[in-house]
Amino acid sequence: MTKTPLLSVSHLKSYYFSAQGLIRAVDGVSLDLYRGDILGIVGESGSGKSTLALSLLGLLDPPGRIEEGGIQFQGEDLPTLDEAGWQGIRGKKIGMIFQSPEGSFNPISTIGRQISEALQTHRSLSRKEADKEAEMALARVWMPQPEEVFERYPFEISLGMCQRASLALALSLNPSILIADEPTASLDIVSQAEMARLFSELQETLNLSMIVISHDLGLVRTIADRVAVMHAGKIVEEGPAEQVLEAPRHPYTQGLVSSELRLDR
Amino acid sequence: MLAVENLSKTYHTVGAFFGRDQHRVTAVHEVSFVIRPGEAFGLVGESGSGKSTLARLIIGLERPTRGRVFISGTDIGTLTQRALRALRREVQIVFQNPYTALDPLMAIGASIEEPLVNFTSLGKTERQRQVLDLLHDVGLAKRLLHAYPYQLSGGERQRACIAKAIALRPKFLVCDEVVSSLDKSVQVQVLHLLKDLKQQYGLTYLFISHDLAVVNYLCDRVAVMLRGEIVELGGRQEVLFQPAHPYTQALMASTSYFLKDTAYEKGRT
Amino acid sequence: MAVERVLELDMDRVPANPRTEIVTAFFRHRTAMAGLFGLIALIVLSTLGPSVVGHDPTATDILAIYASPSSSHLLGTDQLGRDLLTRLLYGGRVSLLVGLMATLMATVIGCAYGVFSGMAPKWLEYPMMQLLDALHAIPVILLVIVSEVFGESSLIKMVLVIGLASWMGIARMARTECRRLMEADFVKGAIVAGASPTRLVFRHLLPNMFAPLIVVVTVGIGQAILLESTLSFLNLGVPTTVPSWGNLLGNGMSSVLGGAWWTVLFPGIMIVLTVLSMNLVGDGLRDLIDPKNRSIGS
Repeated sequence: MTKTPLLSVSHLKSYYFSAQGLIRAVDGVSLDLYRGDILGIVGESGSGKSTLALSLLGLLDPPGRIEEGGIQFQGEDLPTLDEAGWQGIRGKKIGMIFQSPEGSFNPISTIGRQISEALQTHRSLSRKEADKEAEMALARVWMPQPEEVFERYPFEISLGMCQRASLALALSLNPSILIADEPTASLDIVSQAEMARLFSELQETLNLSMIVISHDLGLVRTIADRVAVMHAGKIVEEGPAEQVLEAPRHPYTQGLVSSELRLDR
Repeated sequence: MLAVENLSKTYHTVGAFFGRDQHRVTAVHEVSFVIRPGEAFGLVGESGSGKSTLARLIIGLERPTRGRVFISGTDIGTLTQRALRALRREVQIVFQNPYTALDPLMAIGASIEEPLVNFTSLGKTERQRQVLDLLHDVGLAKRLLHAYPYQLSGGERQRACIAKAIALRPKFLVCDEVVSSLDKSVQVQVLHLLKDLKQQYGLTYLFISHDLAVVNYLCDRVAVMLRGEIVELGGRQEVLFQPAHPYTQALMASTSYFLKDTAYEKGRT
Repeated sequence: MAVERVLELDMDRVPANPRTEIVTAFFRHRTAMAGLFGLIALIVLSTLGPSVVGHDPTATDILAIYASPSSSHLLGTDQLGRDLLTRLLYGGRVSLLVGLMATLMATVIGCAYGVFSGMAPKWLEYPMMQLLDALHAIPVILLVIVSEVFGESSLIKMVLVIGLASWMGIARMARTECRRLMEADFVKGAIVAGASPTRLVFRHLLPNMFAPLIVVVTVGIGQAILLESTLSFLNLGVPTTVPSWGNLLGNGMSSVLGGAWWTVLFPGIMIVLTVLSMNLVGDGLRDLIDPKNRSIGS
């Protein structure tokens, strides 16, 4: 029984045309995301994973652009969309959180106010309804004392809490897919573990579909159902997480997995 | 080799000219420990724990507010600027960020040569020879002698920094998060290198890292730092695998969390 | 277990000094090259021009006063019959000389003060900066008036006055850059590698400050030339016997009412073109520094 993927990337090529020459950041990537699954994309620096993340949301600025390939989502081929089309997708249908939690927030406005405003704009709620939803969104990401955090400015809360707030913001718009680009890289290990647990939990309770892009094998091992390994712009191996991470077939993946420092080895 | 006694460092941010409302930050508070010669001593802490400040105090880049640092029995606080500079032959440091640790306008050969220029009276040819030896020791090709930092990868730059740090054959090396900015596959290589060099040159390390797996790989004894204080100290085995302090326990639990394939365990695949 | 393999660098060209990269990029920048061309033209004209034109800048010719541009006097003559073109070219020498010398002086003093305060401990740095602010607030005219006490006006005095008026901006920039660099890892690394303060300054700090410094200096030369012209215009600048664009302009002011437009137009154009050229070069350098230097200096 084959399910249709929620998101399907086929032979995607995103290149940078710079003064130094042509950079084939994403060079023929194909992958599928199924509903309710967490797909982990693992790669080291320079593998092209960040460019892939940006391409999926049409956030690739010149001198970069999607050169070839398709991204099928809800019957549309995303690279063909114009800016207005993308704006309909971004946040509302496909949400995103980034490595730097402060990057999602305006430093001079409170967390609660910002989530509320996003809700008022994109889901046409009244101020009161939006405020309430915002607080619920914060509670849903296990934020301690959500009413308190609502009133706080981004710089007043810890990075871990800020990242959770970004997640709350992204999820409050009810996207079908969440893309997380290095969501735990800036956090301390304890916050990382909490965040990983949160992702798994949300996958269960909300049937959330996610693409997690990370250089951290541990994170991907813990939450992903399927894993794709990216190197030099291409996917060198892809499959169920258990198989790719425990019994990798491609030499690059094998090298990656064997060089992981573990406490239990 | 190294002893630290009741070391404290408090920063005052200067307010108004006759600032009465000065803001005080205590980065390091009453830290004491001893590192024996030939030992690899690990210091675990998150950002904000004070570990980098501690590194700078030990290296003499900053003066403590209270307490003393003894290197080979000498209290470095009593040394003059000249004597402190002479101490640099014995104690060296490798920084976290290989992208900012090298002068961008100097070829790496010249950067590695710097300690030799400053402290020895060797001629240019002899210095060049030693730099080439150092490049070999850290696994960099001879061709890179004239390369500029921007042409090298993070791992290569970090190796260059290590070469520079061991140029004077110091006895004590402080490694401040030296692998944290590197890709995981490169981390292992650099750690291998550090282990080899320790063997080859009989070095003593103060190895600072937030990553328990890294500390586990390299260190004999471990101290855990939280908010400027040492909360746990002991042998690697006991601190990591039988932690007494709740903070260490939390660190271990979180690190171990990522070792399990939780998704698979949930039977989703 | 030894390191298994020696890492090779995948280079397809000879390692390039970051400095040469910037220089080649500069030559590709069109407006900067236009500015540079203008400057070179100016230098060539002022040094060689007078001998080509042949007139004596101080030779008066009562029969040819207020002569409009003609074949014998390409740009006309002034109220004493002196050839304007020659005086203009000589004036160019003065402007360039004063501008360059004064800025050189300002740069040396400014850098020294800035680097010193940037490296000094905080308790010394703050009073130094406050002193700098106070000095910067002193109007140039005041300096000129004070300088009158020290004897007759001369080119040297002009260089000194303008130099003393201009070093503060450079000092502030030098101190900011120096402070920023002192926090950089590679400077701390140099200290730990045993670099003496002298070596630190000349080998590490100054070269890495060169980029923003050169921008400030090139624009500063333009400012110095403008300042000299303004002062000379007010007869507070170079001695009135020495032709300078400023005093040509000043002399021309009275003449223009009588219809001798050339006495004002040409000196004015020269000032504008020169300052514009310097600014274009400065802008070009600034453009190069900004995005490109992110990979180098930061």
